[in-house]
Amino acid sequence: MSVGILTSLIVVPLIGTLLVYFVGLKSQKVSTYVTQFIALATAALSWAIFAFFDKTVGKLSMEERIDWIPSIDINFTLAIDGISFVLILLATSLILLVTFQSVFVIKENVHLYNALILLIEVGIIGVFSTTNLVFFYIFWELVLIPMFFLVGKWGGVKRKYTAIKFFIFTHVGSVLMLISFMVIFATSGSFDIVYLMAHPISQSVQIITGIGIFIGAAIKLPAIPVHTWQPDAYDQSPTPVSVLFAGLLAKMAGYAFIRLGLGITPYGMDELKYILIVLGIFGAFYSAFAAIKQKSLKRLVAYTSINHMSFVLVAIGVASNFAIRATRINHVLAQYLQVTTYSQLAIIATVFLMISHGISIGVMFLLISAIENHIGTEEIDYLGGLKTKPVLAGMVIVASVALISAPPLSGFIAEILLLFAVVPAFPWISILVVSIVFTAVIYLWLLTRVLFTDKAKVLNSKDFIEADPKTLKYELIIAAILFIPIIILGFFPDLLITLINKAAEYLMNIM
Amino acid sequence: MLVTILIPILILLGGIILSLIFGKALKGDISRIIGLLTIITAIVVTAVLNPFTNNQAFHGLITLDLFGGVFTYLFLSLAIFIIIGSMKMLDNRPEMIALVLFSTLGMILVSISNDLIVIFIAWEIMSLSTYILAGIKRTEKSTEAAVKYFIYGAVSSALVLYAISLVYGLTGTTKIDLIYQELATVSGNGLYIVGLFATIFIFGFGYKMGMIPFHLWLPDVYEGSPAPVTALLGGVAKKVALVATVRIFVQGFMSANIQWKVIFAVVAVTTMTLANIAALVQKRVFRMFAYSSVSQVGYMLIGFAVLTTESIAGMTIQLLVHAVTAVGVFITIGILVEKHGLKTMNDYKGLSKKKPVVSLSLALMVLSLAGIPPLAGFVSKFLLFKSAVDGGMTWLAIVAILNSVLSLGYYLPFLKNIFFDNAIEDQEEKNLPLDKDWRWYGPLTITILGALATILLAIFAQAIFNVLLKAAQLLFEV
Repeated sequence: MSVGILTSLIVVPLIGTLLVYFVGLKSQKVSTYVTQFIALATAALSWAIFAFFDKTVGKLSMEERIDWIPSIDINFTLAIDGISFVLILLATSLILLVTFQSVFVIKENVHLYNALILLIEVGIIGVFSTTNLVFFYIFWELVLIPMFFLVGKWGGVKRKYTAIKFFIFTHVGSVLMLISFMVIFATSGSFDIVYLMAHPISQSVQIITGIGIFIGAAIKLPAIPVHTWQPDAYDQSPTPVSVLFAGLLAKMAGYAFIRLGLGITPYGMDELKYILIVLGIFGAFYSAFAAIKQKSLKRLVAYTSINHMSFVLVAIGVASNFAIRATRINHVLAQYLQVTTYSQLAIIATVFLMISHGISIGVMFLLISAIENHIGTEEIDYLGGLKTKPVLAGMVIVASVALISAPPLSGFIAEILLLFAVVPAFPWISILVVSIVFTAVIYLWLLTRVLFTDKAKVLNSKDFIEADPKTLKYELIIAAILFIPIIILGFFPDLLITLINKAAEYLMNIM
Repeated sequence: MLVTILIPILILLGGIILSLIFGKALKGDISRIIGLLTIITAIVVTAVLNPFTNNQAFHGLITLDLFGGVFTYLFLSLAIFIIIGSMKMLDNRPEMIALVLFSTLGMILVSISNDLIVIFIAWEIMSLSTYILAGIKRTEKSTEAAVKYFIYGAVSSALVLYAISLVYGLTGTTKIDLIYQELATVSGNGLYIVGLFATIFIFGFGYKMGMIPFHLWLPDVYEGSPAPVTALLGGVAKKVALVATVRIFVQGFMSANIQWKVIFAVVAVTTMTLANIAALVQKRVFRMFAYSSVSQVGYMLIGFAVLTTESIAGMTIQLLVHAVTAVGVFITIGILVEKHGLKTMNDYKGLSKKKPVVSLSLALMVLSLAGIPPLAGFVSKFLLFKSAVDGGMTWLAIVAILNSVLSLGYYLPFLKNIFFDNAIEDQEEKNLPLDKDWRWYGPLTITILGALATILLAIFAQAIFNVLLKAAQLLFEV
């Protein structure tokens, strides 16, 4: 048994969950402070990993371990590499902001809500840091159950339907994943990701299990044919929960593709590469077209989120192509980024895109939350009232610009890296550029509709009571904090790339 | 050897007589206390004497192996649950304690027997007590349940007895280990007879397990019986049929050259799928959980279909976890029905606001039944399904896992009602007058224990699984 900072990252919010719930039975207000403190402590712990993290090491390091059922290799084992590390940072930081933002949105059963948010934090950090497949599944499901309650209890009008739909969809995906894990164990005798990366399972088994992992992750991502739960879920959730959905849950799926798909079943992913790429391209266009038609701001953002995640799918599809694994980059980019192969660059771009998108969509949903609180509607045609809050309107513009990947913000770097990585392998993928243009059109049209309209209507005007205008300031500050990484990463992408570079290289060198 | 197993049984018998004499005379909680003391003494004495040394007693009628030991302790502990859980709900029926002890005695005998006749007698001891228990409330519904249960049970017993006669006709013995040796040599037409009595055995035990299509009595009886009795039937008595199947099939019949795997796989798939579909449309909570427990039996039958050491161990751990959880769930529902009159799914709307502790416990147990990690139900199902994959029956694991997804179709709306919905307006009228009797804390303890068990059994899964794996290995060594 060896425990350290990674274990404490999971234990702190777990204890926090119980603490918040029981404190909340006495005083809701105190429970909120406790939640914020716990989230702050967790975020501080995650940033403290910098002190221990060695970015020149590509493989999973900082192992920690507690035995649970050692006879069949089900142990609580944790280890991180650069990819998991940056995703953990994203998770803890976003959740910290969400706990502060929630104060303005959630007024009932605050303690239960806060406890569930912290439980989700446990699950997400667990997914990003565990190296045991069974615990991966456990944490994966641990995110699902609080999410079910959060949507079902605090969501919009269709919340009950949405909660059950979301749960059934993603649960089907996760159990298929679980079957794959069982098959992996049946052939290799191990659930340990590190062991399985060092001792690959046979190719035929990789294909079968790869399909299971692919379906599980694709539902969560979501990829297009299985995406129908997603707009409902983003739309009906309370907005801080939408931040978690878009900012983190989709990234769990991307992480599952990288860690499990490429790490354990590379041959399986190689067989599936065209499916991934085609689904990705199709999804990018489909979601862009679907987004144009949306009347609600949240649904529009939800569909453009599918669009960005489709890019992830394409990049992973290209990275899983064995034929180009060894193709070296021989232009100036390689020298500048210290990247050797195209597949390595694809992984870097994927992670970069996930981080950048997680932050930008986080800002967007935080702003939507402010809009709901202070304007009273998020129907696009009636958002004219936004003019009365110029700062809010300005921030919506910046967030939109971040989401359409305009330079010099981080999204631009992410997508340009991604295109550099994928287009040389399959030139026809360059058609993706068109969908980037579509996204730009969607957001620009959105802005014209919002900013140049006078129609301001409060839906359900009877129910809507504008929140105290003074709180708007704080809500905007919370959202504005996230602009800092968007801009910094736009100018200094190296900060992030050096963290994930070695991990991506290591991942692409295992066969 | 003979004495070590006899003493706990005699203690149980003594407890039964005492509680019958004093329970009727003194009323009150005396018989319950006697019952509890008896069981605790029996557990302590069994633990001290430790008769389970992989040996035989009574000229091979009784086999004292680890498997029997596990179930002896399990049945005794669950009897404690039932007796405490029956507080307030069956206070005016002191003879109930004696009957619970009687049925526990029968269950223990089934789990340690090595002889078909002993199994049959023990089976009848258990069944007769549970028939009476089902009707102990003497209301119309309870009596109907008892009569229905008795008729189905009598058919089941008759079938088992007829099958035993066929076995004796073919092999000339009723000792299970001898049957194993005899059947290994059977070939040709003899196999048809093996198939015949095996089928009849499956029918007979299937009635008790609630295997589909012999489940029709089950929802009515579960709903009609008093809740603690339902807990006994659904949580414990049903498992005895599985234990008997292990004894008779795994230790006895499996040597015969018949496609056992196919038979059990078909039965398992049918049972779990149909039960889950049936549960989806239930409006009344007891019936829903009745069908849920049928589907759980379907999962357990996978253990026989795969038939490896791991799968039997996986079946046993699933059985153990479900037994504890089911007792907890049925007692909890019992409290809510008896105390608050919440019978249909709609009555549960908004329960979490009024009763947070009960709701939370119920949620934990229901999520565990649904196999949601990291609760005990997940661990047990995981081990069971994994054994199917390891045993080369991946398709069966996939069917089972998809079934557990299907089962969410009724568990989740139930939780949704409890946690998300607001109470229906006229529900206040349905509430019985508030009853502040301290005796309600008895069943409430079981609710909380059941919820804790879903966590504790998961934490100590390795220790439990090791014991069960050892027990399963010893079964196969014969």
